[in-house]
Amino acid sequence: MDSFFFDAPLAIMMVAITPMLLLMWIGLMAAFGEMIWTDCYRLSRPHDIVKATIIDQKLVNARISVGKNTMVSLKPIYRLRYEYEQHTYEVEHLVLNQEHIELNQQEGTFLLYVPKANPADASPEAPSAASPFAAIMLMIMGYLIWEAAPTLLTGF
Amino acid sequence: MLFIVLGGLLWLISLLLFAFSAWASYKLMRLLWEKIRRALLRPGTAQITSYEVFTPDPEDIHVQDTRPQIRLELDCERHGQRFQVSLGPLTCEELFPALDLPAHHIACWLSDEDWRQLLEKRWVTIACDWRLRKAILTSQIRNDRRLLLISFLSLSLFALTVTLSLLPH
Repeated sequence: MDSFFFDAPLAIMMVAITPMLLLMWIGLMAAFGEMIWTDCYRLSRPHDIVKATIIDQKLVNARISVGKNTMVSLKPIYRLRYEYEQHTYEVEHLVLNQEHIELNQQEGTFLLYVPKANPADASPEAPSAASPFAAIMLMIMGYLIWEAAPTLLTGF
Repeated sequence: MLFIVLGGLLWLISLLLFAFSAWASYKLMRLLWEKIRRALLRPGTAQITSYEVFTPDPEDIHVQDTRPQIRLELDCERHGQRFQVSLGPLTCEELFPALDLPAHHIACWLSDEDWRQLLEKRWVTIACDWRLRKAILTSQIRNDRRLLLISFLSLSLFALTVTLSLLPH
C-alpha cells in the first residue's frame, strides 16, 4: 500500500513527461538537420559570388526584429548594380544586420550570391559557420541515443 | 503524517503534469493536423479585387516589424464556384515571392502609384482554403511540406538508431 502510494505518482509523471522529452529531442535533431540541409543546398546549388557596386543608399527609420527585439533604428537600404552573363541587374537590399553581410565601405562594393538558374534573384552573401557545429551536435545526440536506448529499454 | 503530506503533494504534482501533458499533446495534434491539411492544398490562381496597404504604428512596442503591410481581398474560383477570400496582413518578404518577383524587393517602401500598378486586378498564385475562407501563400505551403518532411525524416532516423542500438542485446 505504502509503496503504491509513492510509486504511482512517479509512474504517472514519467508517462506524462516521456513523450514531451522525446518530442523535444527529435525536434532539436530536426532543427540541426535543417540547418545543415540549408547550408548544403546553398553551397551545392550552381551559383556565383558577384561583386556589386553600390549606386545609391538611403536610410529608413524602422523597427524590424530579427530574432531578438530591436529598437527603432536607422536601417540602410542599398541600391546595387551587378553584371552577370552580359546582363546588368539592379537590386535593392535592406540591411538588417550589419554583421551578416560582406560590405566593403571603402570601395563601395557588396558581395552577392547569384544563383545560375535565376540571376535576377540575388541575395547577399552571408558568411555562416553554423552547419559544422550543427553536424557535431547531431553526432553527439545520435551517440547519446545509441548509448541510452538499450539501457533505458532493456535495463529495467 | 509528513509522509502523507509529501505523498499527497507528489500525487498533486503528477496529476497536474499529466493534465498539462495531455493538453500539450492535444494542441500539438491539432497543429500537426492543420499542417497536414494545409500541405495537401493545391495551389491555384486568384485575382486581387482590393488591397490595403498600412504601416504599423512605430510607437507601439508590440509591433515586431514596422515595414508596410498588405491586406488583400481575393477572388477565388473552385469547381466553377467563385468566392471571396482574404489574405491577411502580409509583409513584403512574403508578398513579393507570391507575385513572382524576386525577394530582394524587401526594402518595400513603395509609393501609392507603384502599389496600384503592382497589385490592381493582378492574378496571383495562391491556395484557397475554401473551408476557412482564407488564402494561403504557396511559400507557406512549401514551408509546411518541408517541415513535415523534416519531422518525418528525423523521427524515422530516431527510430532507426534506437532499433540498431538494440540489435546486439
